[in-house]
Amino acid sequence: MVETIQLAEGITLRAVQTRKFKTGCFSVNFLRRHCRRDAALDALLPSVLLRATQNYPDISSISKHLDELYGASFGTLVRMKGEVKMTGFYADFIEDAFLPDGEQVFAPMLDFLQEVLYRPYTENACFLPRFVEGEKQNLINTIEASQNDKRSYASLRLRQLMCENEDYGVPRLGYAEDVAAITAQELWTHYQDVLRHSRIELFYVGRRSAQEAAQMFSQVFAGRERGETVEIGTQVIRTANAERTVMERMDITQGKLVIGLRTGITTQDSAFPALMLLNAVYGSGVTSKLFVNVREKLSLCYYAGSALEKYKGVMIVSSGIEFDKFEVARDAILGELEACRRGEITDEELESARRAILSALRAALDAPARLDDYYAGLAAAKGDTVEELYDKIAALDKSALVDAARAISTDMIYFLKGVEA
Amino acid sequence: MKQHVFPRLGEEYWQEILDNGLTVRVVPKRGFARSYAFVGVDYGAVDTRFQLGAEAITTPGGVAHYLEHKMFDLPEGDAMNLFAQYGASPNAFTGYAMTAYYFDCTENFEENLRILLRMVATPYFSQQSVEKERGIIAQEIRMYEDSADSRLYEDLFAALFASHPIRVPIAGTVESIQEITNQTLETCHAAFYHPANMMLCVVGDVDPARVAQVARELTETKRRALPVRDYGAQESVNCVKPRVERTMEVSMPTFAFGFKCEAPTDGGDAMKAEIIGALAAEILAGESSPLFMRLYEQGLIDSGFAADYESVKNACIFTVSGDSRDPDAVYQAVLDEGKRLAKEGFPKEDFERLVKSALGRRMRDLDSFESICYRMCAYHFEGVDYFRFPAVYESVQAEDVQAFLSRTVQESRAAISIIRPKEREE
Repeated sequence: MVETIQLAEGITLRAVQTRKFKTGCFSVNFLRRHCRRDAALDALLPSVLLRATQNYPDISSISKHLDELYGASFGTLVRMKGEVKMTGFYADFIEDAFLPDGEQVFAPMLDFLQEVLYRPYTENACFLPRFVEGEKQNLINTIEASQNDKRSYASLRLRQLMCENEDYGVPRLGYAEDVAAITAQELWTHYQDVLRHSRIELFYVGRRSAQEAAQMFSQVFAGRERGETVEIGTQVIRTANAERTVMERMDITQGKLVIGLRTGITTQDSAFPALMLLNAVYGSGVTSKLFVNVREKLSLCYYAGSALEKYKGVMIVSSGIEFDKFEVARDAILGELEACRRGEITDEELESARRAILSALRAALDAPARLDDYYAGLAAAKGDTVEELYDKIAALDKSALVDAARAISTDMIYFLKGVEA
Repeated sequence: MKQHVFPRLGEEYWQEILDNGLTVRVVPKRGFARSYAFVGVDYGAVDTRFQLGAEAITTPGGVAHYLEHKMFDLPEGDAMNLFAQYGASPNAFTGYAMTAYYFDCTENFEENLRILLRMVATPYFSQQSVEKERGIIAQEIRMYEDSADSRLYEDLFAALFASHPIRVPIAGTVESIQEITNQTLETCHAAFYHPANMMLCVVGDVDPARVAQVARELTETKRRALPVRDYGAQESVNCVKPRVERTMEVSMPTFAFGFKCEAPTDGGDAMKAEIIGALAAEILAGESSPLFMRLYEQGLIDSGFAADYESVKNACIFTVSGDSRDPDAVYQAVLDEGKRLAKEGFPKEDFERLVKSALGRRMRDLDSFESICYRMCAYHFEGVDYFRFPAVYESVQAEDVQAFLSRTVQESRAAISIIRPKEREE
């Protein structure tokens, strides 16, 4: 179903041909090692590239061009798969089949991609400082806005504190102070390095065959000078050293309790499918132990759920609770994991979780953006295709889940509470 | 069932209106693993006052949302678990104008459809279960209270309107939900959860006739009288309170200003009014507009800056929102740009380009099962067939948009809601 074609040394296209959608899409990703030194540069780069090009020298002309292409969208991407940073662009657009005779959108979108990548708006062979400054400020504002949504802010703080000695602890967009220090010249130099020395992963879903898409994408990159590509990978900590508790305060009305656990299991490990199923039994979805026992039976939280950071070997449990429920909620949440370790998983819990995951995997094939994200992950680290993962989940038994639960250790308990509490 | 084909969209639907008044509509999508079923109830947070027979009823804020939470209780157990047994992911939401229940599945479609229909048709509230839910809903309300986005719009609506129930937050307040009992829920369920006040919409690789058959089996047979809603007297287009500000834990000031608009006179106009409003939003403040470009270059706005048009049962609002270090400068710039556009107008090619872009995006939106169902129901309750949108776009003229902007972007109609960061103690 997904076809992988190497376009050139270090440039790979993954393509899914389908006639199901009215929308075609592609992403272009430059793969970097996520680290403090480069995080801010990587995050700033796509916004500056999309600010102006030689043929479209301001945001208004870019926007008008995309309007003319029947409301196509072309946006920036900055994502992390473990400690692999993928920076680039995501585009979606109406399929040519739905246009008046003779009109095209896909080919012009590739032209536009080439324009953005290779004909940036420059002055003295460098990005225009005024544009760089403008986008720096926007990025700083976005970074500072991460405190606005308390739920994701608490998770962000946990990651930062728990992984302070790992690259993973550096926020996805870097730090505001690092952004502030970037100069146009520095960003330009970084971009030349990104273009030459990053693996480039392309992903496409649409009506064209993989071969046809490969041929068209090749032209975007044809004749460009490329060098050795930089190494990428993720450090995995198998077991937590000791359990730590951190409390912080903010002027909020609902407390946020976030627990970080080390699973030590990533997509590259044979135990990964079992961990995924265990996570569903424990804390993901409406039949999970956290939802049924902690939220519904005990009425302890408005929300309580677990999620895997599957490239890093980390599990994160988040919940929203009253300030005075900290101890009881923490004990209840960790108690449900202990129950999994003891093998207290009913057939109904197991089968509901399995059905939910299998259904989500089948449904992923209906959602281009989810396929894009899934295969972006496969480009960053080894792992199963959707179809392989499906077969493995279908065949698992309870003992594999218990083993996965026993591999998990609590690293950090983080509580964001009110000013007065 | 009757087939309706829309060649320009590459779509079709099958429709039947059952004897009890329920509209069943199925949009076949071949080759998809997913199927999606959605029951929309024409009952939302603003339906707090109504006449049922001889009786005038006023309910506390937040009943529609409370009811949504409790509809998942069935005599045989929690509907969530029943769906899970058949591999579906169910969910629900309450808006100002609509409550909806839906599921997504890749197997056992018919079993899941049965659970969905049984769920909305079965009020099963014990005093104890209603009591228990109160804590969960109070927590949910607390979460909205911490959300700058929710607060911003709640403040704005309360500032714009004198008496329209859109002034009350969707979930109500921690105080208002204390007054809700199982009796309140039963009354509102009986009044509004009637087949003639609902629509079942299904998208996926399914058999339309079978969907209608199951719906016939599981919904009540006779028609009942529907309640008469009361949203208060038609309000003037002048706002009540021109400004509301508060401080919260946000990093940058965030703002929304709204201009009150005339309500469309009859259902047929609802879609046209919405399209005119949306195109006006693009002309005034869209990414390709002169205003956007100028404010962006000045660092007064970021890419989140946008205008929009919303209409909820006689409450029609043209909004402009975003984040800015200086919301008042943005506000003044928008008022000035409104005046300029009223006087000078805009190039015809800008209008044509924006129509092309909007049509393309609406077409692409037909890939989203969620969006198809939501819009089909929302428009159906306004008496409009959603799939007729290409013709409506073509009927809109640049002059309509020009007239809308001249009429609407006026200071007398506007209120501004701002949330500023708290002063940090160093």
